[in-house]
Amino acid sequence: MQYAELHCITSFSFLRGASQPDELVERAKALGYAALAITDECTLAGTVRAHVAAREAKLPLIIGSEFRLTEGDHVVLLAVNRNGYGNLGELITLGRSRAPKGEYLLSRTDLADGIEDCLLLLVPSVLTTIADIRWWQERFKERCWIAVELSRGPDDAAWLTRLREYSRLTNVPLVAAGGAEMHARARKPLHDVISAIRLNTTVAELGRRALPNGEQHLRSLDRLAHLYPSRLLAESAHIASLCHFSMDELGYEYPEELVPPGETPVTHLRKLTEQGLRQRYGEAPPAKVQALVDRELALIQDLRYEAFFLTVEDIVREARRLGILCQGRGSAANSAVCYCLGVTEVDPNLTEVLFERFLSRERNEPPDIDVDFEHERREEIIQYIYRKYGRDRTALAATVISYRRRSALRDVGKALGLSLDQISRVTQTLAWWDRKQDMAVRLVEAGLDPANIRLRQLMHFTELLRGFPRHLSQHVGGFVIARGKLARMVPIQNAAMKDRSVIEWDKDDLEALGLLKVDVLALGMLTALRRTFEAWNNYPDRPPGSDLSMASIMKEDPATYDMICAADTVGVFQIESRAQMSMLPRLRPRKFYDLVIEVAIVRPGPIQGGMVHPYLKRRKYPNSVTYPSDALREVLERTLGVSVFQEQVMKIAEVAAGFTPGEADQLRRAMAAWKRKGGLGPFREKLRTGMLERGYKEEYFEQIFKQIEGFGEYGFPESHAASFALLAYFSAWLKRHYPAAFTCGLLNSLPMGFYSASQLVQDLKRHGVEVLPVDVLFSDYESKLESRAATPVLRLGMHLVKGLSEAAARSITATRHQASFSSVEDLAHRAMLSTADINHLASADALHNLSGHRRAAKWETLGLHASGTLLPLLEGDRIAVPLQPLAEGPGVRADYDSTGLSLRKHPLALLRPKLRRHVTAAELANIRHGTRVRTTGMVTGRQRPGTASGVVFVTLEDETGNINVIVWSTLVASQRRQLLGAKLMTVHGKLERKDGVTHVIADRMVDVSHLLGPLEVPSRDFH
Amino acid sequence: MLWIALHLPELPLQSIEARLYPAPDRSGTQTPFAHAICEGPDTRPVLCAVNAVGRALGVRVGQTVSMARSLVETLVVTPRNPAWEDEALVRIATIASEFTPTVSLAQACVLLEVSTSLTLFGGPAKLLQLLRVSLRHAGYRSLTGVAPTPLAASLLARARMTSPSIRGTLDIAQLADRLAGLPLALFDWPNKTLTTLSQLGITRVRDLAPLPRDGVSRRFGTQVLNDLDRALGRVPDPRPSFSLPERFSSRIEFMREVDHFEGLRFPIRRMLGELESFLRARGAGTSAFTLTFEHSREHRSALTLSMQHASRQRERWESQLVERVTRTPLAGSVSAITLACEDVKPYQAENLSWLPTQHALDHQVGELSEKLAARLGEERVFGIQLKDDHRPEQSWRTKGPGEASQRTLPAPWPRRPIWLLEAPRQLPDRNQVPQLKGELAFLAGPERIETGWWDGKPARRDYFIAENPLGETVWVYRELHTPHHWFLHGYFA
Repeated sequence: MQYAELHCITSFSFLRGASQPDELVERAKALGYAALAITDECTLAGTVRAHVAAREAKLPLIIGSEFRLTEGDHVVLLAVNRNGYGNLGELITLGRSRAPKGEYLLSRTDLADGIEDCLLLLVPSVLTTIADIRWWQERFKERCWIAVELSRGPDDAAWLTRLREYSRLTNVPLVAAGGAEMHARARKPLHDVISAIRLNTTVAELGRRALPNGEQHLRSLDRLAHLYPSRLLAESAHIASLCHFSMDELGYEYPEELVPPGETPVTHLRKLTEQGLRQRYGEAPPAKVQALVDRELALIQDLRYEAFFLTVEDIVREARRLGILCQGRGSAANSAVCYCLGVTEVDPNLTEVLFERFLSRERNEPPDIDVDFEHERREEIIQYIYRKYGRDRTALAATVISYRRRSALRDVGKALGLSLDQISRVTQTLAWWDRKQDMAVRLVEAGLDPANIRLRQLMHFTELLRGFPRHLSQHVGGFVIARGKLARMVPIQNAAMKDRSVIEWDKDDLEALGLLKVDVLALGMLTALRRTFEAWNNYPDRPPGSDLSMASIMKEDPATYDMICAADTVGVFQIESRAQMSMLPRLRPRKFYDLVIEVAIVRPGPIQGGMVHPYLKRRKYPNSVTYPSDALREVLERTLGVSVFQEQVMKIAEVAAGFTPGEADQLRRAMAAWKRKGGLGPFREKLRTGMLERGYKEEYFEQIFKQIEGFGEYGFPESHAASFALLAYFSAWLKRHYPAAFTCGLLNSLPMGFYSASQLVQDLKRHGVEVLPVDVLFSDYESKLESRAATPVLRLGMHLVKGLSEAAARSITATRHQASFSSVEDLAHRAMLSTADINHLASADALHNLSGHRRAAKWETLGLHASGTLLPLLEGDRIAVPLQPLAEGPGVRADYDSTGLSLRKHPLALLRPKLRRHVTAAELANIRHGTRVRTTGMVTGRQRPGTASGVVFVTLEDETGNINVIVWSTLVASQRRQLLGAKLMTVHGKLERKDGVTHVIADRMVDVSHLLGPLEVPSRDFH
Repeated sequence: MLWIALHLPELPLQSIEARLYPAPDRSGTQTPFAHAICEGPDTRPVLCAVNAVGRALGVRVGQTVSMARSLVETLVVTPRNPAWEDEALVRIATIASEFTPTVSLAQACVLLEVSTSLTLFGGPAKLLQLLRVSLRHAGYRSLTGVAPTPLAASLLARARMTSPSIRGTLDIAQLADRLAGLPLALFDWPNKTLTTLSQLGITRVRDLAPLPRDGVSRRFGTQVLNDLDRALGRVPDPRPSFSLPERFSSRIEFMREVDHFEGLRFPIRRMLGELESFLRARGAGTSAFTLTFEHSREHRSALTLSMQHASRQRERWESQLVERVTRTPLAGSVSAITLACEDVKPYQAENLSWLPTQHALDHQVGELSEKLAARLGEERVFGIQLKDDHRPEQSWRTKGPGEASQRTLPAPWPRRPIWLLEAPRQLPDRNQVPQLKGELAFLAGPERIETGWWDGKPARRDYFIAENPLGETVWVYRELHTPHHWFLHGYFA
């Protein structure tokens, strides 16, 4: 007997289907089905996963979708061929485009022309009439069936009789179908739970909105033979045989307009590359680079990726035209071709080029190029793409948001009727549990009973629900561009964001089908660089011809590396974090490639894989560098025998264990997923045998394997590290040579990076640059450079004034250009400021040149705006009122409250008389290793890296700088309150200094926040 | 005029402690635990009150719930309940009404005008002490302020939160002096006004005085100066008078169900005390009130205590109750108790009306069912109602007589028998065919019902409509699990 399930939904019919696509495919295969149709409700989001599983299981897969129409009809459409698939995609896109995100709206009219090359199954209900059946029959002719779905309802026999009668009267044939919503009966309870979540109720309250039984699963052929007449079963297999579309037919069709008439993609790409080569190196490019270019172009031609490179080049060219900084990264980006095309600035002469590792003939896999743009101007690029290709040809890739443990706990808890309080108690205790066996202990700690049946159900369903998709969101910037209508390849939905549309597949789906996307990403540092250039180029006293641009940055500047080695890197891209800063004096980068390593090595992967110390040791004692074999020497030489990059691990697998490049790539994927799914087992064995066979020692294998595990999700590819290192170098160079302009650029790009405006300004002051306060008579909206005795100083901009609107600030600047202000009244009237605006200015002390101290200014502005509109001041209002000026301490506090920073004394300087015997950050530098110290500062950061087994790194700030405190896990446990609660903290501890890095190891912490008063210090807490 | 203000900063906590009980152990006592009240959005609730245990462990008002939980993992957090706070305020006002007829409610504050009752209670100090004792007995703590104007009294009461030693005054001439040092933040002014004032360095009552009055009004509106004048008695400050409710009702919930009467005694005592205080304030007594016990799954049982004469002695009621409960034990573990008293009559006076009122006629049905219940036993008189559930035995339930049915149900039911057996009856079978007065012939089925895993009453069955040789149409099912027995579950008409 042959049977094909033609009506089956997956978890991608969100909160309706209780099984994942691959579970359904595997079950259908195991049961010996002739085929399986995936017919999620008005979506194809689950099809790629089903396709991949079906390809592996060698099960014929039919692509379809079910719809509930406004008239009440319930129909299933199945694609016969590529054309039918395209029509289905367009229909889904139409239905989705009419409704808010997550919903759809279709009526009979939309299907009235009988969707060509699709088959229709009508799923009748008790309300279906003969007339309804005839309506469909007229439209779909011989492509129309009545689905008979028997799932042990009240009277299946009577239902079958009725449908037979309908069929006899209309000549529309019957076919057996299951209406499956799960792969196995055992999923029924989970089905109840997700139904309750979807209907926003509890399982107990669900009542008959739940399925009465678990029959709607993929049933065995025996059981089906028992339930259905054999003719109806045979019909299903017949229908399946009519559908011969496979998703493998979907190939990427490149946009045509990238190539000018008379050129082919091949010739055009070569032409552009050659042009770029001349621009970069002049008429005689280095032979090495020329050879690389030739080899790469041959490879690109082989794999027919020209159009992809042309697409990226086109976008980058547009960015350059608009003056938007951008930089490519990813394996294919760091190629000689991309350097010539201007996609990246990583000179192939300076670094080992990594191109072929990702773009290989054997794997035939899409190349990876991410392009970062200035975060404030990325939208312009996105709009350019939409404009150039049209909205029906391009859309963003989706991101499938899936249930994680926490979200699953919350939703399952609600469905089981637990109170919000109970749920949050469980989520809070279990959030960090990494192994199932810890669960019971955690529950007991939280005062919950692990034997409680509700809690056991909660845990059970939470585990089942984890990984189920919840909804589609948009990918950060991955665009898919098609030659024709994109909807014919994959349906498009509205995104939550206005003017965005997303396809129904995520990046893994695209990769599985070999489709290309272009990643248009946003990067704050690029904005900061452009604004740094602007700040300098607008500085009135700059020497003629000294304008700054990317081109002015000198390569391999020793002074810049000196600064980096001293960890003087506040604000520098990537190497500004505390962990990076404490690595710099040890690693001591002296050339570009050192920075590439620096960027990649301070990551959870290399840290967990235990690569940091061996690398540092070998750097310090070059004679100790050894290689297990000559073959590996080639792979690891540039990193002194230690594997730092993801690519190296793969290469080791190839060289030392005989993996093919394809297998190595599978290993890379498994590495990325093993934390979630496991599955490194088979690789472990293969790697071990391979390595032992080739004469490597068992312990070397263990070491390599540990590194692979450590890399896990956090492996950092060399290709990305190189691009990041370049930006790190650029920003460091600017900080070294143009500190005022650099800080100004950062301030104008906030929020970004690690440091607050206050910290950036203090750092600048410590570098000896004067900083001037916000003042309506001098400040612009943005911060800028002014000249004092022919040196640049930083004038803070009104953007720092909390609550002040940008329009108001710009209006002040514009009006001031006509004539300066004579009084607050003059300012308010001419710049047409609102009550709120002028109040914010007064609070920020930006009026001090017009009306004296802050309180006097406030009183005056309040009078001016008494009724919400501008009134002229009354005579009586001009009389000086008996108000006391703010004392110094509260003044500093008011500065922080209104602008987030103060140019007066640091709060710690004010408290210093009370803390006379506490050492300052500056004094710590001159204290011997091992000395006991007592020090106090404002808590500006608490960090608890996953790699450091419970240790918390606290950063304190005083008037002289930052103090790095290490709190061991035992102290974390016993002084949790002080650790988490203190805004101002005194630490008693021991000074530790190693390789120029100074820490205080805390013995005891004291919360002295009361000394501060109500000052808000934002601490950035990282988990 | 002499005003006493009772300021209740811990009302959010106390009102909940008065209504929501942790389950006590068998001896009626219970171990102290950290408890806090939260408010604000579900996504980021913030604590607004913390009990002493919690405070000792470092939990503070203003912390987020997650922050507090990270300090004390066992912290019990209850969301703020404004309805209970209003109720508690009424309760406190009721107690206050025992001391003076002029009581007024304000924001988290009860005001008493006591000039007329001073002599009766032996002077202000004595009266204050008695008042505090009564409140403490009822489970409330307040800060008190005494002054010749109501606003000044409440300001002084509030001021005690931060400076407990501050003193009130009986003398209006001293008032301005007493108030001069008070922070302006004590006034109920908009945050914006207070922030602006403090930005100007105007933080105490005395800072306002030297400023030009029109300048102040222009900047802050009239409320600021007006409030100041009311507090100082420069302008009159009439207050709405609190009037006692007609009937009494009080409810206590338990965090976990209580299955023994001992555990209920203390909360019941508390409610009886509240009733007594209520009756005392009204100058009334009662001859009947009802305690309703709520059990699991919406079952209730009630206990009415009637007396021949109106009374208002808690101890007497209590001993009567204990007697009753020893005779008829609790109907099950209790999740909440309600005490309701509609019968409020002049104390020690006869009810003179003999004629049935409209109210009484309305309740005749109720009376009938009460009488039936009294004769037949309470559990034997009930109404029934449909319940949306696939399991036949779960698809209906009982409800109190006369109680309104709940919302209508979706979707029509498939064919169901008119008479469902209370418990399915196992049928013998021969060659897998069930027997009921002969061999059964199936008319329809199987209808599979496979559900109910969540409440410990799972049903996994195939139902058939069948006919026996006598022509009876019956509803039978076969278990889906071994041993696959057959059961009779109902009869069709």
